[in-house]
Amino acid sequence: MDQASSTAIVPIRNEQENVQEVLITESYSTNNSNLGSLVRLVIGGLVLGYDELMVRLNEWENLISHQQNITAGENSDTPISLDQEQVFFINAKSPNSEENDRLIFAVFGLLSESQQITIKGLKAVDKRSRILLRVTGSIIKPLTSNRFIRPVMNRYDQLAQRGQDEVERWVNVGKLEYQHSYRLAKTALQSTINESINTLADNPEIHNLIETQSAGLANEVLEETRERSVTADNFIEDILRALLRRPLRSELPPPPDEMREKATKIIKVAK
Amino acid sequence: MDNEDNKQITPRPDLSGHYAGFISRLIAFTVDLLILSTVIVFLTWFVPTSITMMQLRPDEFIGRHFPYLSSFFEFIYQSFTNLGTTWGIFGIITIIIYNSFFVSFAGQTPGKALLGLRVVPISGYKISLIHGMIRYLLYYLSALPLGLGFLWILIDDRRMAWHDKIARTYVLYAWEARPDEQFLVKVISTMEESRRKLKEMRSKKSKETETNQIK
Repeated sequence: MDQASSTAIVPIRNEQENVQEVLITESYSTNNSNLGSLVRLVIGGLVLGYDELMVRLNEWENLISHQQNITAGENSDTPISLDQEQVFFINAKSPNSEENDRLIFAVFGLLSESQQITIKGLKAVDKRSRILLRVTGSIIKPLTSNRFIRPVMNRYDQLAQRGQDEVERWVNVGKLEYQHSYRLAKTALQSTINESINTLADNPEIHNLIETQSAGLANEVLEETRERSVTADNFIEDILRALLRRPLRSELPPPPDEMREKATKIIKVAK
Repeated sequence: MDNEDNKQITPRPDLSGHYAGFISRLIAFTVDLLILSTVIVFLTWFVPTSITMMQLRPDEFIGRHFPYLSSFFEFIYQSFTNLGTTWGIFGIITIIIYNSFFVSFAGQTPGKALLGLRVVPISGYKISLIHGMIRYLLYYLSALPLGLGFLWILIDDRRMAWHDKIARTYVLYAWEARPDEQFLVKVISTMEESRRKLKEMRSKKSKETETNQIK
């Protein structure tokens, strides 16, 4: 656990701007342990997910209500355009939104702090109980080893054993639940990916886009190859002619027009 | 700046219908070779395997009805189930059919089509299957003297190989052929760069040897 310095920049949400940076000058101890990071991740994920979900829900609600408006009263005198309506709903904030934000931050701070406070408290309790046990152990030893007290001690041991068994049971249930949750999350993720891929594969617009782009790319590559081969034809010939001390060709002698027409006939028809 | 603009505006020469050069034809030939190799390897594996797997014995069936032909069909069966013989038979047949069929049917093999080349007879008529076959068989004549017949394309004014001359055919660009000048500039600059480096290395070496000799 680090005792971090007191100054830090933390982004918070605001009504006017989406993100505002705030300087925290109070002493704040950051907990970089795995558990702390996990708690932070879960809380952050929840907050982020909640925000995103709310924005989307607003949008969907607006879209649905707009569609309903269109189908219900197409002859309305004052139709509201989709953009105007969306902007109105998205920008609209309840008067309590600032209070809600404060509440969310308070919960966030409490959760972060409570985890640290709990660990600190548990450590203190553990330390004190050890001291107490050391001090009182020698005093109460004759009392605990007394045979009249033994039935009470036996009951206490049974109770402790039962508690231990209960904890063991929780551990087993936890293991099972952990595996189950893991499998569930994995299945959910896999099915989401599969569904997304299926949607992409079935979408005719994406099909067209891929086909067009692939064909365009193939044509480009083919044309480039042809052009380069034509260049290489001339280049190699020039080199060979230079080696054989023959005059360089300024221009290729064209074949008879009939031949040229025959060779390029299909291209001209296709064009 | 003006020069650059002029370079951009100047239209590149259209060589459509001109005689195709050595490199284009070589690339087309390589593509054809790749296609043919794939087909032949597949047939060589597929035919004997399927005959053996299905336990087909047409030679026995024919031999029962026509006893005098049984030995001949047994020989054919043995040949077809033998990998080496099948490769030989299918290889030769496939290569001849591939070249003559495509040249006579479309005037170009798939490799030539990819590079935008077309075989056109000097007579002006369509190339027949026999004509295409003869033209293909003449490839071997061009290949015999260490490929000199093919290299003839480089020095001939009409870029004709020996087999073209004998079979009386031209190979022409069947697309709006134009050279890629940027590529040419790149090639030349790379060559000049490598020549310069080579010169530098030589001069360095000679200086080192001189200093060594002085020492």
